[in-house]
Amino acid sequence: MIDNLVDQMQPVKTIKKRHGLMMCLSALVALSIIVVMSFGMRQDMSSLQPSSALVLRSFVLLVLGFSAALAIFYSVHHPDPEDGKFLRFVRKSWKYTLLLSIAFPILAAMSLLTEPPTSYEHANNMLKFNTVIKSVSFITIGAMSLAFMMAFWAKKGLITNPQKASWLIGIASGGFAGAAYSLHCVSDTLVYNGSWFTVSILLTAILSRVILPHILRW
Amino acid sequence: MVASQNGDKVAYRKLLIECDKWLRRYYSNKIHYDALDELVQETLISLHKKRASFDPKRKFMPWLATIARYRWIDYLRKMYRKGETSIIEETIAAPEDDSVTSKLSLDALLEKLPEKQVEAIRLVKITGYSIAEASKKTGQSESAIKVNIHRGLKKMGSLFEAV
Repeated sequence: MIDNLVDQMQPVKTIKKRHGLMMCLSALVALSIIVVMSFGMRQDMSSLQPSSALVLRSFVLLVLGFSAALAIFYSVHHPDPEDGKFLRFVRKSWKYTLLLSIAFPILAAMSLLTEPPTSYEHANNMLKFNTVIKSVSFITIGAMSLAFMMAFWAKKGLITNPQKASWLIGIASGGFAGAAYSLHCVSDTLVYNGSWFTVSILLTAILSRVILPHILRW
Repeated sequence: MVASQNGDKVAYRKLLIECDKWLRRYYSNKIHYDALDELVQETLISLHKKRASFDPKRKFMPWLATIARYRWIDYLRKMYRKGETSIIEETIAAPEDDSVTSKLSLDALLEKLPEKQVEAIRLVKITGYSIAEASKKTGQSESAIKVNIHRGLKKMGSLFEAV
C-alpha cells in the first residue's frame, strides 16, 4: 500500500489561512455589490453619513463573522501543544463575540415584552413584516453560498470536529451576509435588528450544521 | 514531510515507513490486534489525503497524532454502530509517548470525561467486555452503559480540537 501511495503522490501546496481570509473578504465584497445593485444602498450610506445604529449593527455582524471565520482558519492546521495564549484566544474568540451578539435578540425581546405592540399596524411598524421574506431569504441564500465555499476550502485542512466547524461556518457566513445586506436595510430599530438578523443567522447556522458535516467529514 | 510536500518520492516513502511503525506502536494497546493493519492503513491513506494540511512551520508529530486520533475515534464509532465488541490481548510494546504525543493522547481525552463514561468505554470498547458484562461489573444498567459509551465518544470528538 505504501508503494501505491508513493506512486500517487504529487507535490501539494500547503493550505494557507490567508487564502481563507481572502475568500471571505471577496465574498463579502461580492455580496455587498449584489445588494447595492439589486436593492440599492441606504441613503445615509450613499451620503457617507451612516447612522449610529447602522454602524453598530454592521460592526457587530462583521466582528461575529470574522471571529467565527478566524476559528475556522486556525482549525485547518493541527493544534500544537506549544501554541501560545494568543492562538488559543483567537480560536475561542467567537464565543465572546457570540455572547456579545446575543445581547441584540435579548434586548429586542425585552423591548417587545416591556412595550408589546397594541395592534397589527404597531407590530408591523416595529418588525416590518413586508420586508422579512426579502431580508431573511437574501441573507440565508447569500450566507449559504459562502458557507459552501468555506466548507470546500476547509475540507482540504485538518478539521477534526465537523459538527462544530459547521456551526462556525454558518455563523461566520451569516455574519458576513448580514453585514452586506445591512448596506440596504433601512430599518434601524432594535426590535427589527434583534429579530430578523438573528433569525437569518440562526437559520444559516442550523442549515450549515445539518448539511456541511457531510462535506467536512474525512 | 516538507520534502514530500514538494514531490520527493524517496523522502515520502521513508516517511510513510516510519509513520507505519509509529502508528503500529500507537494503536497497539488501543484496539484489537486483528484490526491493527486496517486502522494503520486507513490512517496512512488519511495522511496521504491530508498532506496539504501540514504546516511546515509547526511540528510533525502533533499533526500525525491528530490524524491518528481522529481515525481511532472514527474507528470506535464505527465499531459501536456495528454493535461489535472486541477483546484486547495483552499486546506488543507500549507506544512511545513523548511529551508532545502524551499531551495529545487518548488517555488525556479520557481524563476529561465523567468517570461512568470512561468506565463504560474502557470496559466495552477497549477491554472487550459485552454490554451485559460491563453492566454487571459496574452496577450501571445496560442502557446506561450504552448511553455512556455514546455520550463519551461524542464528547471525545468534541474535545478533539480543544486539547
